Parts: sequence; C-alpha cells; structure tokens
Amino acid sequence: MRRGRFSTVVAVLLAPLAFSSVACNGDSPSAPGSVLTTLRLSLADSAAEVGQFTHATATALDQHDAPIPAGPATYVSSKPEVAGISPTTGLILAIAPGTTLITATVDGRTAQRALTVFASAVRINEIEPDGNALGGWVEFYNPTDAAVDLSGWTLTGPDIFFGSQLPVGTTIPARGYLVVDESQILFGLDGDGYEFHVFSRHGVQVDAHAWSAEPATTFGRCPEGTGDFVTTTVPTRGSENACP
Amino acid sequence: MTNARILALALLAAGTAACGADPSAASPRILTTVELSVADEPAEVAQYTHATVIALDQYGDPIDTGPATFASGDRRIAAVSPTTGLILGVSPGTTEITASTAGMTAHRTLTVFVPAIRINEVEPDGDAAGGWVELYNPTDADFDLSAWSLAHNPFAKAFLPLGTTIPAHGYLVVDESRILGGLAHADGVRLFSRFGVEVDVFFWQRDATTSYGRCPDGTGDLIETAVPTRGAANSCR
Repeated sequence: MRRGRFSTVVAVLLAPLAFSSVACNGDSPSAPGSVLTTLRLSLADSAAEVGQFTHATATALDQHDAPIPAGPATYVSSKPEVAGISPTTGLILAIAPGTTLITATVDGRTAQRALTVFASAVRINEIEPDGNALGGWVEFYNPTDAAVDLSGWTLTGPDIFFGSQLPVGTTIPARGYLVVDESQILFGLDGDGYEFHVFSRHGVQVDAHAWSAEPATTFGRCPEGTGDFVTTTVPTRGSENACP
Repeated sequence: MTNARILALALLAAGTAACGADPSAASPRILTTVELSVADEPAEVAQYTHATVIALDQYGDPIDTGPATFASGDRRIAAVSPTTGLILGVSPGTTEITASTAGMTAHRTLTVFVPAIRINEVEPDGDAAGGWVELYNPTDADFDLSAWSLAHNPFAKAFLPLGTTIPAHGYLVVDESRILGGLAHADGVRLFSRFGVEVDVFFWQRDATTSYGRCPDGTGDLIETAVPTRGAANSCR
C-alpha cells in the first residue's frame, strides 16, 4: 500500500483523495459485505401540474453508492390534499397547488423529497366569436417567464365532453400569445349565449368564459392576462388587449 | 513544503479533477456526450411523459448547450413535442426518440403498450345489487390500478381509488355498489386505464345462472361458468 512510503502527514493528506474517489462513482472495487447505506429517492417530475400523474422511485444504495437489492418500499405524502401517493408503487397524483414532502421507507431507512404542485397560469385572454360565422378565434396568454407546452389541451363549447385537442408540439412562448382559429374548435363559437372552456392535458379546467351577447369588438381581459373580461375597443389578435 | 507534501497535493488535485468536481485546474470544457432520458419507460397508450437531455463535458459535468430538438422515429407509436420533449404514447410498439443539441444526438428506444389487465369474471346478479366484476393481471409484476375506471357509460366512470393495486397473476374484485349505475340483467361494463383508454369491455344480453368468466382463465372468451369463483381462477364447464 502507498501509505507505507509516505510520512503520516502525507497519509492524512491522502485520506481525502481516497474518500473523494469512492464518493465520485459506484465503480470502485466492490467490497465484500455490501450493506444498505443510503436510500435515494427520485421523482420523475420535481414539479407536477394539478391532475398530473407522476411517480417516485426509491433506490437502495450500499456503502459504495451502488444499487443493492432491498425490501419493498413504502411511500407517503405529507400533504395528501396536495398530492396523493400509492403506498406500494410510488404512483403520484397531483391534486392541488402547494408543496408536499414525499417520504420513502425501505428496511427502516427513509429518504425525502419535496414535490411542488402547480396550476397552469395560461389564460384565455381574448375571444372573437364572430357571430355565427366561422371567422372567430380565441387568444391565449402565457404570463410566465417560460414557454408552456399546450400539447393535448382540450378546447370545448358548453358541452365539455366534446372538444378539440391541440396537437402535440403546440407551445405558447414566455409572455406570449397563441391564437386558435374557430375552425380548429369542434362546434366553433357562437355569438349569442355561448361558453368556451379550456382544459389542460390532465383534464383540469384551466379557464373558461361565458357570454350572453356578441361583442361589437372582442372580449378581452383588462388588465392584460389578469383582469376580468370586458368588451375591448378594437380586436388585437395575437397582441396586447386594447382596453377601454 | 516538503517534496512529499507537494506530491500529495498534486495527487489530491488530480483525484478531484478526475471526479469532475474542480474543472478549473484542467483544459477548457467541451461538449463530449449527450444523454437522453425518458421519465416513463415504457409508457402507456394515451400517457404523456417527457424526454430530458443532459449534455456533459469531458469530466462528466453538465454543460449548457442551448436548446435541444426532439423527434420520434415512428409518430404512429409516440409523438414528441419538437422543442419541449413532451411525449404522447399513441399506439403499442416501439419508437426511437432522438434528441439533438449543439450538433450531437442521443437516442433512446421507447416502448408504448396497453396494459394487459382484463375483465376476467362478471356476476351481474340480475337487477339486484350483489354483483361484482373481477379483474385479472396476467403479468409477472404487481400493477397499479389507481384512477382506472369501470363504467357502462364512458361519461359516467367510477374511478378506483389511488393506491389500488392488482397482484402479479392475481385478481381484484370490484363490487357492483362501486360501479355507477350498477350491473343490470342485460348490461355491459367497460374497463378504462387511468389515461382513458378502453382496455377491455364485456356486454351480456341476460343474467348468467352462475357468472360469466374467461375460459381458459385469463385468456379465453367470457362464457357462462360452472360456478362463480369470486377472486379466484375461473371454474370452466
């Protein structure tokens, strides 16, 4: 061994080196007598949207950080009202916005990881029903600093069981707009006495607007993205609303 | 410092650089490998999952390479959002997911499947409320049935609670009282995955003297059994 060729001072200096090379990966020579040393808990999604299913996976590691066989894992969520978890499989259902602590237990050892559940901030921002003609459109606004993937979001009229899904690959830019033409919405948009609903890909209603009469211009949120729907001064398809 | 100490410090520095913890003492970082992972593998039909790219330098440390683009080798099997990596399982099969960033690509095979869980036995119990539906898991692994649903009317589903599992090669019995609208003399029942896919369906024209069960157990057609076998292998005539 090296130690015999160096002074004790050097041996002390070498000790962290030996430690660091073991800590760096799991391919160090596997010592006999591997024992469960740490439990690693990973989440497929560190943040999940309301209605989304995701999952936790517990991995038992030996003293060399190598996976070893261990007993079955059990899982629990500190706030079941935020996210529920299947106790034996780790399947997670995000229920309401908030943060919950997911705990996995294997052979008496535990590991924890925080899961944040959020509701989508994307909003219907402007609607042009265009009477009973087919020239209408709906504008969405993304108030966040990151693009949002709207693949599989569903748009419906008053009958929420019949809608149109946005195709895979549909995104809305950060602080940007997405306009969907009436022709892409099953049953279109009516001018008088109609409703428009938008559901996330996880089946949760994100926003909706109902109106009794056709606007002279359009319905738009004032202020932009956050306020109530009012009749705008002029349609502003794909850009900031013109508020009265 | 003594020569021995300097040597030891050099060894220490070399050791940490090899671990990738301190790249400052080494050559410029260059993109060396691109790793692609998929959050759910395999994925079910109608399930959304996502691909994630990690670009690594020559020390195995993450390095920023700007945006990645994603593609699916067979869009009939799975579609992928080109800019975000969101994946939708479309139909059973395998497809190669490809991610490209800074001129390098990484591939990963994704399998899409429909779970093999089946309606294995049905006891309608006429128009009375004592009926039940038995499900069977023919696979070698326990399966999570959280948020799966049973229904006659697809718009009025009765969902199984979070934490419901069916053991490997085992059964799960759902009582009629937990199925919206119950099971009538002439009726039907559909089984939906948690992603809304109809996995199995059985309709009957009249109540069975015994029960309807798959013969052979787990695989055959649903026919009248010799005797009801709630939660156990079917008794075939």
